[in-house]
Formats: sequence, C-alpha cells, structure tokens
Amino acid sequence: METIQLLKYEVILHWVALFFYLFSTIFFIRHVTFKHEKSLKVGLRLALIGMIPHTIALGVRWYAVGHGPYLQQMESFSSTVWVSMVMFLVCVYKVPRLKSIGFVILPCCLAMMILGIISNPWVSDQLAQALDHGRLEKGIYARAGVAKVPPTFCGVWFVIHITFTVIAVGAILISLGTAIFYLLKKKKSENVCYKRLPSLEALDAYSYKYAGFGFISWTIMVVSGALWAEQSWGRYWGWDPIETWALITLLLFGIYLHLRRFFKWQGEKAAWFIVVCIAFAIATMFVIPFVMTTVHSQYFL
Amino acid sequence: MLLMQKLKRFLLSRKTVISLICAVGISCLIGSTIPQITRKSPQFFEQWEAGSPRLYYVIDLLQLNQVYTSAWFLILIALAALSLACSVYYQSKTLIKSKATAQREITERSFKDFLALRLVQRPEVRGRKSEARGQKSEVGGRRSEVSVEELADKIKKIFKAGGYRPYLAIEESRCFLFGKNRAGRWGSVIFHLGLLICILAALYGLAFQKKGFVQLKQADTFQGKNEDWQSKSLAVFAANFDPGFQVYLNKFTPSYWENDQIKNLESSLTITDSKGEAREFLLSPAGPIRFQGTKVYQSTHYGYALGFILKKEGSKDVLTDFLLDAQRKKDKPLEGKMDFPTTDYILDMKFYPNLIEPSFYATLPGVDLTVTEKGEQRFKGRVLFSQRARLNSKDSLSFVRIRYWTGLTFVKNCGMPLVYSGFVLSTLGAFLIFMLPYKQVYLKVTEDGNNVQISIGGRSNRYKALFSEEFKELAEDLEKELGKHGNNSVT
Repeated sequence: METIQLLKYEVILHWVALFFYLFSTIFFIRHVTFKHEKSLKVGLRLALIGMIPHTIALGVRWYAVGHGPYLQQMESFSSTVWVSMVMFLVCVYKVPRLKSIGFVILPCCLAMMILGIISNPWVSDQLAQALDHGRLEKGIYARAGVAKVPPTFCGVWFVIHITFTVIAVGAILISLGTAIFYLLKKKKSENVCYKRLPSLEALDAYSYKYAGFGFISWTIMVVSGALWAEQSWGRYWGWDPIETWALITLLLFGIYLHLRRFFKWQGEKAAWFIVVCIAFAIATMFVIPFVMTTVHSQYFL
Repeated sequence: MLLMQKLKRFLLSRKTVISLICAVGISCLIGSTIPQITRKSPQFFEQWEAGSPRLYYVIDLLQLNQVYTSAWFLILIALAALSLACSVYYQSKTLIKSKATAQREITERSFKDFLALRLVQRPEVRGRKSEARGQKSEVGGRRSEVSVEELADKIKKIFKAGGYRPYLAIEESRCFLFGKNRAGRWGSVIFHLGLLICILAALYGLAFQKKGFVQLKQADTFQGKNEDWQSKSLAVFAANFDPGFQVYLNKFTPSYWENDQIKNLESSLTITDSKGEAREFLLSPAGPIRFQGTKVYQSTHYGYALGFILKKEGSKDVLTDFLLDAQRKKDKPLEGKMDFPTTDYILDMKFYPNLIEPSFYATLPGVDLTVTEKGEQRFKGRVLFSQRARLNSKDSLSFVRIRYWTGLTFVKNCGMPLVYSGFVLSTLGAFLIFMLPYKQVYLKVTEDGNNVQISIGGRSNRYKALFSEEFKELAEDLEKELGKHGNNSVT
C-alpha cells in the first residue's frame, strides 16, 4: 500500500480515537458535574475503546513513515496522549478509586489530540484546500510531507530522552488530576462522586507520589537529553531555552518536594503548588518551542 | 570554630536550601528572558545600547546579559555546591550511625528461635492490646496444634508477601524489624551527591574545557595549529588548544532522504599522532571519535569548496578555495560572496552542483559568477567546471576544483566522566527517593502472665497516608493468620 494511502487511514483512525476521547470526556464531566454514577463507567470504557484506534493509528504511521511517533508536532502530541492514556488506565487499574481523575486527564488529552490532528500535514492540506478552494500553494501547504529522521536522531540517549518526556507528561497529568480532586473534595466533601475517591490524605499522597514519579521522569529526560546533546554536538548543556525551562521546571519540582518535606506543605497548599509546577512543565513542552528560538523547534515544528 | 558552626548551620538551614533553589530558578528565568551575549550578535547589543543606554547600562552592570557566566551566578552555584556537600556529608553520617546502632543482622534461625522460646514456654497465647510508633495495631492468638516453626514461617510469609524482609533483631526489647526498600534510605544522599558532582563537573568545564571548530576540505589536513581553527572557545584556565594530532579528511559523504532532508553525514578521517602513527576513522553525527583525550564530532555544517585560479599578468597564479554552505533544498544553489585574497576582486557566486536537474551532488557543476573590482563589474556569467572567466585583458579566473568541506568540532574536557557519573547518581537517587520509599514494620513480643502480646508498628519516610493503608492490610493479614491458631482478640 502506498505511504499516502496509509497516512490517510492513519488520520481517519486518529479522528475515530478523537471522537471516543471526546465522548469519554463528556461522560467524565457529566459524572462530576451532575453526580451521575454510571457515567464514570461509560467514560472509562469509551477511553479504553478509544485507545484501540489510537494504537493502530500510531502503528500505521510508524510503519508508513519508517520512524517512531516523535518527530513531527502531530506525532509528538499523539504519542504523548497515548502514553498519558496508558498511564491513566494503569493507574485506575491499580487504584480503582482514582477513576474520577479522568475528569482532568481526558480533557487534557483531548486538547492535545485536537492540536495533534490539526497540525497533521495531511489534514492541514485538506483544510487549506477547503478554505482556499485549492488556490493556496504556499504557507500551510508547504508543511505537507513526512519528516525524516535527521542524522543526530539516534542512539540510546535519544530514545530514553523521548520516552521519558512523554512519561513525565503522563505522570504530571495524573498528579494534576489528584491535586485538583483534592481541592474539589476539600471544598465540597458532601458531593457523592467525591466519596468514591480515596481520603483527602491519600489523595494528597497520590499527588505527591505521581509528582515524584514525574520528577524522576523529568530528571531522566533532562539528563538523557544532555547526554544525547553531548554525543551529537559536543556539549551537554548550552542554556538553550528549552533546556533552561526544563531546568526551571525541575527546580520548581525541587522546591515543591523540599517544601513538603521540610516545611510540611501538605494538602491545599501543596495541591496549588503542584498546579503551578505543572503549568511550568506544560509551558516548557508546548509553549516555549513556539515562542523562542531553540534547537528543539526545528524538529518539533 | 564558632564561625564554622555558624556556616554549617547556615548551609544546612532549610530556608537557605529553599532560597538557593529559588535564586537559581530566578536566575535561569532572567537568563532565558533577557537576551544573552552568547546567543545574540554583538550588533544586537550595540543597537540596544544605542536605543536605551540607561537600561543597557544597568543590565550590563548587573551582568544580566551574561547571567550564566556572571560573578554572582557563580557565587550562587558555589554556595549551592557547599550546601549540597554539607547535606551529603551529614546525611551520610546519620545513616551510617543509624546502621551502627542496629544490633545485628537477623538470621532466619534467630527469628524462629525467638518465637519458639516464647511459645514453648507459654503454650496458651491470648491476644492483648498492643501499640506501636507511627501506626498502631493489636493482634494476638492462642497457640493450638500448630508448631512454632510453622507459625514463625507463616508470620514471615505475611511480611514477605508485602515485600518486607526481617533484618534486625533487638534482643533486649525482643523486637524484630522488618524492612522494605532499605536502599531507599540512601536515595536522598545519592541524589544530592549526583547534583554536587554535576556542579563540580560544570565548574571544571568552565575552568579547563577546550573547544574548537574547523572547516576541513576533502584531501586537506588539519594541523592542530592555532591559526587553523575557524573558531575556538577556551575555558578560564585553558591557555591554548593543541589536540596533539593531525586530521586528514579522506572523504566526506552526505546522503539525503527522498524529501531532501539530510540522512547522514560521514567523514572518513586519517588521524596521525605525534609519533607519526596513522589510524583510520569513520566519523558521523551519531558516532563521535575519541582520540588522545579529545573528542571529535561531525558537525552538520558542510558544503562545497570551489577552487579558482587567478592568472595575473606578471605575477604567479594564485589558487584559492571558496567555501559555500550547503542548502536545505536541492533546487536552491549554494551562494556566497567573498573577496579574492590579496586582490580587489570580489566574487559573488551561485553554485549549481547539477545544471540539468536539481541535485546535491556535483555531476554537472557550474557557477553563476559576478566579479567586481572597486565597485566596477568585471565579469558576469556562467562558468562551467574547468572553464575560464576573463576579467580584463590581463587577468582571468579559472574554475579548477570542486570538493566537499565539512565542519569538525574538537572538544577536550576531562570532566566528562564526572558529568556522566553525576547524572547517573542523581537519576538513581531520585528513583530511590520516590519509587522505593523506606518502610519499617517492627514486631514486638511482650509477656503478660500467661499471655503473650504481639505488637506491630510501622513507619515510612514518604507517602505516609498510603503506607497507613498498607500497614492496615498487613495487620489484618497477621490477625487472620494468628486467629487460625487460637482465640484472637482485637480491641
């Protein structure tokens, strides 16, 4: 089968996955907003079913383009969503009482999925044609095609860097979910759907635990990125904006963990602080490459 | 002595630690928002200074335009390193001390002996109240037909199923300690040690690292002399960078994907050391070379070197190479504007590797050449390979040579093993801290007349709420198991 044909199928599968995630999000919102118990189960099932076309879509793309889903913007978004979803489902499997955090994770994944699909070159082409009736020959059109792996994109450090980047996002999303539910539960403890959740102390501990896991993954991401840079360019740290912001996020996580340990920042204060940490992490990953000139931009965009 | 004590207290103070992390973070924020000298051209700063001299004066005075090499940032980093060193030292000391207070490693036998002694003497064991530090639970049981060994095994199995291992016996108080993730206690020390090593390695690099970039043409040799470097950056205490060997570029091979992206760059090099021994190497971006403590990297800068001979009446022919950077797209020519050394000629060229169809490879090469002398145009036209361009009645320019050039980066930093070990240690430490939190459960047996009371207690250095749930499950399992062998009372 031709590459272009395979890529069309991949886009269709991504759309199917997107719709499952959309409906799953709606059910999770319904569960929390309208205290509808059944919606939780439905939302979770829809998310699980959505993983099937999503997995196939990523597999098809991998096969068609000849490299893993990490090079282009849409590939990065899609693989990040996939890993976050897997981590969420594993977390829910291990701690069923945390099912409700899908209320936070699914909308985040959905937003990333939409951004990913919109930035897909093939979809961009179709949009451009539809909007300009085929007159547009440059601009968004120029992005059509498949990016190929540059010579520096190889080696074990690169693989570790990419893998732990997406794992870090998954972990901090779960931490965000538990932190937000801590705040919600504390505010409205009488709400039925919050009663299913673990105790406030346990929620706080889960948030801490996943923040810790995110911190490890983030550390490994920074470290492996530095070692990869050393292997490729002869310098392990160059104060590139992404590197600097990754360090800032790491330091912020460090402050959070120290505050928890030494100054007994727990509960509400810790929950708000983790929200700030996650905002920085998201800015580092998805905002800085777009607003600052960085070595990551040329590959990510 | 008093000063040292004060310094130690200051460096280990929680407020100092938090303040230092905050200060480093804020410095990084400043460094990423204010344009830095290392990332912008000198013209940019000249324009900035001309546009707003007062603001620029303050920025320059506070070294905010060179944050990462400023004196205040280095002091901050030095303070952080001292704080880390103190923290590592005192944490290790505490951990080693705590190990020394441990009575001895418990063996499987001694665990059984202890239980056997109690249960043989008191065949009837009734549960009573018990309490423990951190967590509390009360379990007990009356012995029936079950053997002591069997019971001991069962208790141990329960702990084992939870991932706990018996490792300490404090005989005087008849207390057994079960531990989980003992390595986790060292997580913080290892993590901070890793960070300390990373900082030291960075400071070492700042002091001694040597880095240089050369543009090497195919069939040319890099002698390692000072004037051969295209650019060079030496650390504070590095006087000169002479790698001590020569590099000859045998062949450079760029390859491309079908969409014009670079697939790979490969340089075949011959490196000759000071003794005259030559060795062949294949260099690519994925595989740098290490030779005599210097690492050689394949740069992604490359292109064509076009050789022109200038024939001037009454003087010797001069052969000069002009280096043009490769373009990203094959339909775009390689462009460059350079002056011909020792003359007033300025050459403006557009080089097409293949004039018939767009290609990166020089199969039918030609150059669109414009030559000017003191503002006057001397030649304009297309010159094919081996053709000559007449500049005036006396001078002519011949296009005689095409070859590749490629950038090579040389780095000498003996602190790299430190960097690697620092990175590995900090990652390992972070893993131990958060993934393997140290948990302790102890089992204590006390006598009360004919009854024997078993108490269990536990503590964890992280995720206490989650440990509390785990502890409850453990206590329930223990209760259930002991209950099988006698009356079991729990209050």
